[in-house]
Amino acid sequence: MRPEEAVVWLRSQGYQAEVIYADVMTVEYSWEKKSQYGMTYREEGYGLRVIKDGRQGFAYGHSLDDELMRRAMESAAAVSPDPYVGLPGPEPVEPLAMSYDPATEEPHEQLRGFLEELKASMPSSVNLVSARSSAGRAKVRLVNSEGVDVESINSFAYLAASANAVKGNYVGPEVYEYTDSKLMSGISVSSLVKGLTYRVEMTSSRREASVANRPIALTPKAVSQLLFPLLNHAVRADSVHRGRSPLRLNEFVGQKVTVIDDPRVEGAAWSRAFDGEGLPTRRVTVIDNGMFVRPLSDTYWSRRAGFESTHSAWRTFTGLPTVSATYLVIQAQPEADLGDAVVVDEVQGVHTSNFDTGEFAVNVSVAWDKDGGLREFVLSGSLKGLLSGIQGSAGPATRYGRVISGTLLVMGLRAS
Amino acid sequence: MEALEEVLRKAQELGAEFADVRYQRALTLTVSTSEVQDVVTNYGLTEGYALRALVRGSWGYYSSTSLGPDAARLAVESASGQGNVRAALLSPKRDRVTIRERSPLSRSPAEVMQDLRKVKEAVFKGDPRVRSVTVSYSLYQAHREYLSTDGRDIALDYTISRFAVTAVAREGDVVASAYEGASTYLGYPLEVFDVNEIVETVIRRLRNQLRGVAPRPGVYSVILGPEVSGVFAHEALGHLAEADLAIEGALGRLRGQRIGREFVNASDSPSLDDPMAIGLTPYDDEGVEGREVKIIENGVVKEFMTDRSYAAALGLEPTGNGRAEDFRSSVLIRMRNTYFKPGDMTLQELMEDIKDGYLMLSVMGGQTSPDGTFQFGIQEGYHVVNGEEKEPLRTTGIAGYTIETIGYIDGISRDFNVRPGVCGKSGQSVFVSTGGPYVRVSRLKVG
Repeated sequence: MRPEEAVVWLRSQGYQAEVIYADVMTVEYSWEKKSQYGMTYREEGYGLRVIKDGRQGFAYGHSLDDELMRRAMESAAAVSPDPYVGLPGPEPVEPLAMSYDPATEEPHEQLRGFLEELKASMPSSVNLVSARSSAGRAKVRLVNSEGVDVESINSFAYLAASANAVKGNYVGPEVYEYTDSKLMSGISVSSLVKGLTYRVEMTSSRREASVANRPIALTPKAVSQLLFPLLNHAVRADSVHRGRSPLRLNEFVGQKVTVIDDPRVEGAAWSRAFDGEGLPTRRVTVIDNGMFVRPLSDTYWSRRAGFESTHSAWRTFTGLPTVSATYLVIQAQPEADLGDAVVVDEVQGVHTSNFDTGEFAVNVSVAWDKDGGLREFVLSGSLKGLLSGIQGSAGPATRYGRVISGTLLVMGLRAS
Repeated sequence: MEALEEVLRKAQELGAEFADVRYQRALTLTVSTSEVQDVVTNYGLTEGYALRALVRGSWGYYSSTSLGPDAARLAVESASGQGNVRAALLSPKRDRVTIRERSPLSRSPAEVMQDLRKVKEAVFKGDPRVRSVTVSYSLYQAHREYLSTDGRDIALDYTISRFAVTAVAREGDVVASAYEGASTYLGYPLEVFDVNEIVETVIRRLRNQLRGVAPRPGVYSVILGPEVSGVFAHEALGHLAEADLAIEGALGRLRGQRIGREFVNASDSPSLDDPMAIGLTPYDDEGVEGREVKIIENGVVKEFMTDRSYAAALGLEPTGNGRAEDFRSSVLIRMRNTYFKPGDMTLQELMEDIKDGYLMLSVMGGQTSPDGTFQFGIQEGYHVVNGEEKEPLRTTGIAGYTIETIGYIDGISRDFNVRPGVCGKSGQSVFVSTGGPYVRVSRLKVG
């Protein structure tokens, strides 16, 4: 059954209905010293959301058939009526520029080439542990009974490697670097090698040093690993409405920081023209000069909590939409000198944080200062403390993971 | 099964030295209720195939929801590498394994939702300061088939179900958040486990967090409770003993060497006699029978976990640790049920020697690096002064260097408990469990 046919039939049964269809193709190559593989992966799937009498149901599968519809209706019968559930109507969607590269349909040679170039250009001082390249495309269509009918094709390319320094009995920390793009041409092997080499050499020896009471400089990678997940939880409308955010709306969280969610970063792998409900994406200022001014929301949470809808629904075909940022742009006043700061590049264990309170205690596995590499240490604090402690941003704003940020100079975190 | 045999034959005709195919079908259901809404987050079925061919010393995969006529060609053409990969070959074997539930899982989403609502109300009644509660249930019903050119023909059916409670409480400006859950292969978790005990645990943790204090950062003598020592066995030690990480990491070069006292023993096993041992893997996703891997025996690093590739590369037998999350995923070396073995002390004896230290009872997860550093978040812990349990802690973390930390273990209790978990590696998640006794570490960073 085609999505529009399913929607029409369900509407005739008194349901609002929404079908998301995804057709994904990925090619991946993986290298380790003792094991290598290539993989071609293809999958199509459907997610079906139905709403009747305030009861919302959902089901997914590989076919849009009677069984899928039966499951969706069965799940709707399981929930209590909720006056806030509903599907949005259509809004004009502006396509993204540079979102599809036909070269990602047959990327085998280029992906193999990325790995060969990476291995060939790695200096002998760097012990390459693993490398992975992948590319592909995702076709997505979203149709609902209220008139939304949008589709897109987005491509993506990705290159990652991990490496360390090994000298005699010394094993340095495993440093991870990656880059992604919507276009094959957006992958720079030389930049990745340069970044990896610098970090491996900085940690080719490490010393125990006093880190307590020193300023902390979070590189864009560390911002991506530590700040993004904490902030992404805190600024979601559902977290704010339910009191599960450490931030309160219209609260002043730090005089020197502005945070913008930008789902339309040109060439960035996760950029998207429409959100998980088929609504047009746009830049949203979340924290404005230190003031938490706007939570991110989807249709349900904007209705439920009375917030402006920011069209921030995020999903795959196997689940209902959730609210999420796409790329968080972190802006702080320029800071020319990091001084005596401990540069933190990789942290472990952010998922062990208490996201509801914003408290974290993470292991810093890759760090250095002006005298060289540092042994691991624990960095702890809270999201509010981190935001209010931001003194400025050094270096160019760089996209890493799902943030765009410079190196943030932060005071007041506990290091031990 | 004929279609699977045919695609393996084709792969061999196209030049594969060895080939195998996995068929994996999974039904999932996730139901939750909170003070805001009831939701069926997902409910559905996915199925697909992963065909793998070893061609001129490199693996090639084709993964999809169907095995079309081009599947063998696409797998063979995807093979890429430097030609040094081999696969450990096994003797032919046919087996069918079904892990049966004790408590039926036949409830409809509506019936499950009714049960969850009762739990939600119980949490709200547990303490007037509770502001927000989410109670969730998830079901993963798997059917897996495996066929290989060396004659392995394995089918496996099992179901993992999970029940979890998260809650937030507030008193003035102090906010507390706590979690407790249980997973099992034995059926409906709200019948397999004592729901009241889970609710009480959440309430106790909330109350502790509301009055808890942050520890003074530093190095202390710390007792890791069974949940924490189990996660230590998994995160800090187990990952280092996965052969793909071991050969580059801190543990690889220590094989045969003593790193702990003679009473320190840690293993990874395909099964444990415990309802929460959800890393149950009688056969892995390469058709290999699971066996116990003794990572540390009597304080000495003994052996590593392998899959078919690393076993062949290192001249070892495969241990049954080759696992893939689903048909979309490649096979990786993964843990199953990982644990420290019990010792001969009591908790009281472990506590008596501590002048100023901590008792850590519950984690919020952890992470490790191949160089041996680890970090855990702690959601339930207590200050210990002169052998006595004192005030509770707010959320905190412990971290260290695994090899050193194992050397600092100076006492192990005779208790043993198992906890369920989900382990992430290279973007894939698999069910695991962790287990252990009370383990005392004489020096550990608390932050």
